[in-house]
Amino acid sequence: MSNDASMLSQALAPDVSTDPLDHLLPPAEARELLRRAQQHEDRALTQLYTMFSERVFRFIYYRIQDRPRAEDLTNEVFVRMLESIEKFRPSGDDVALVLTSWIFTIARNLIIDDTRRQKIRVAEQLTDGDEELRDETFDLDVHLTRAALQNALAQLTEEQQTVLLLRFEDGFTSAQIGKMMGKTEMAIKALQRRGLAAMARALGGDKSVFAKDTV
Amino acid sequence: MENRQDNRFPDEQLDMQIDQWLSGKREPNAPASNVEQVARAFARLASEESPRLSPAARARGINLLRARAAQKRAERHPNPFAFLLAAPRWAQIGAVALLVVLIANGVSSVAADSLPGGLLYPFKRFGEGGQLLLQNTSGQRAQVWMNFANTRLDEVQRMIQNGARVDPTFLDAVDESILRALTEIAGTRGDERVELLKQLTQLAIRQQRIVHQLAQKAPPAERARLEQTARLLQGVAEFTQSPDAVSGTDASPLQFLTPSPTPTHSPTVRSTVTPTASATPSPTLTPTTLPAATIHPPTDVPAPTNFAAPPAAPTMTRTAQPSKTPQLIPTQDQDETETPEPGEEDDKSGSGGGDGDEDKSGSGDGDDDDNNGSGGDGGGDDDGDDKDEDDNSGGGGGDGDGDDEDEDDDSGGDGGDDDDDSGGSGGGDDDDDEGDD
Repeated sequence: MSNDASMLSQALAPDVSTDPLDHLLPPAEARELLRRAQQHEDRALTQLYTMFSERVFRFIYYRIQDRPRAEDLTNEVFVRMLESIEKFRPSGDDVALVLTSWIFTIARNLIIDDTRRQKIRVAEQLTDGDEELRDETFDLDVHLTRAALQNALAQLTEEQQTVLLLRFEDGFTSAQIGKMMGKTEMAIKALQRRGLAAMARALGGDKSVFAKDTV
Repeated sequence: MENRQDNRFPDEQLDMQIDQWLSGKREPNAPASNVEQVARAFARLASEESPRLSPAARARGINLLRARAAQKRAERHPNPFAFLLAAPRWAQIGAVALLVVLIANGVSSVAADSLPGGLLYPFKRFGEGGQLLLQNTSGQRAQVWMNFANTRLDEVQRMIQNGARVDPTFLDAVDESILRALTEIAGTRGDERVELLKQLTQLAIRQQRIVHQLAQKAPPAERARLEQTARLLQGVAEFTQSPDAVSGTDASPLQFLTPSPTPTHSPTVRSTVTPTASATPSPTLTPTTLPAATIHPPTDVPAPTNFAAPPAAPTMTRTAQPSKTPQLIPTQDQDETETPEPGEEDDKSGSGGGDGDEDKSGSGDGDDDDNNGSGGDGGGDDDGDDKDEDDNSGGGGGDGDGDDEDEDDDSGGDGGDDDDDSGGSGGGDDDDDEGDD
């Protein structure tokens, strides 16, 4: 089995145990990967897809709460990335972070475009919730809690949503998010706190939502 | 301020707690606030089951990406400037700047053959201006002006060959270039000065011959103007061969144009400004030439008044003619019609003594503004620089120089006038400046 084939199979494997996104690439590796991707090399592009697709999907899914649409948009993110990767010139040494930031920026813009285009109110879709309930990947109890959190998340501003999703779902630190969004670390922490407070208000202080944790 | 610090502290605390929850640490105590409860629940959900991209979607995505990449590779054409895209920003800027310079250079080299009135001619003149700015010394600038003089005459020749009518302004440009060269030479010394004078002499003689030939073939309307330039060139050539040109020490450049062969009329001159200058020949020579040749088309100024007005006064010979000298005497006001031309332009420095900038060396009389008395300095003009048109070195006949408004200036004989009167001695006249040669 060639390297390419093994990478492809790894990329296609739905349940990869070790998430390659947990750590950002070292600058030299990130730069080399970017260089090869700019040459439109299949392997480099597949590697980028493997590294970022899950994060991007979660980021989009929590925002639009429509799985098929989130999957389509996730793939669209990488097509757009490919279209403009030749012109992408990361500044500074932290190539991996800049690259990550760029990909998430594409995702954010796509979400905004999609939301505007379809004029779907995220909250309304959540209250229907039929598709979510049919999603077999979720445990019911967890799902309910997640649904409540998602509903609350939908009440936040776009910036607050982005910060909380990057922080909780993708595991970036506040400092990293600050670099990605062009804000200070303190500003991100403030956004994070305000976002969580807004979610708490949206949840109405319903202790039952947090019953598993608090008890 | 305190509030801000208070707010910042919980932000920090909360962030640290979130780090712990995300790393899977659980505290024994329950979170206190709703905000903390939400954060903890969020962290737990993220660490537990989270939605994943379906295998079908992953396969679709990778296939789409690879297909699009293959298409891009097929579409990709070799980009000759690809190396620039990979280069650092400073190199990109440098390359663009180089490109601009090369294009500008190309345009100017194409424009080099253009003629007046042509589309590219302004680029040519603009390029010449830039070339001039790059020269540091008077000697270098003199060389450049001589080159320009050649270029201008070449343009005139080509225009005539093409059957075009020769605009007087084209010849003005020839005159101007020659006089500018002369002006710049005034700022040189020693061997360089001698060498430049030699070059200018050769240039003036050669050009005079060409212009003369052109004049013979030209229609009458243009002949007069061509002859005017020929006379100017003749005058320059004769002057540059004179000892005065070589030994000139005065800083005023156009002193060249006011040769003072014989200090014959010293008494009169002294009375006006300075003793040394020889007032005699110059009046006819210089003052008239510059204004007439450079600024005004031939119609304005009587042709004979030119630099070396050959017929009327063998001016170039610099033989002091008694008849002319009286003009230097300040007492004569506006009667004499000979000096008028000198009086036209500003800075008509009477030949004779030292000049000075803006000196009011009115002969005899002091007039108010900038009037160089006749017999005044040789290098009457102040600024031997820019506008030749303004620089009129008064010939011995000394007209004072008026100021700048040429046409209006009166070369007052005695200059007892106010503003713009050149208080030249002698035949100052009024506005009309009808030389009565």
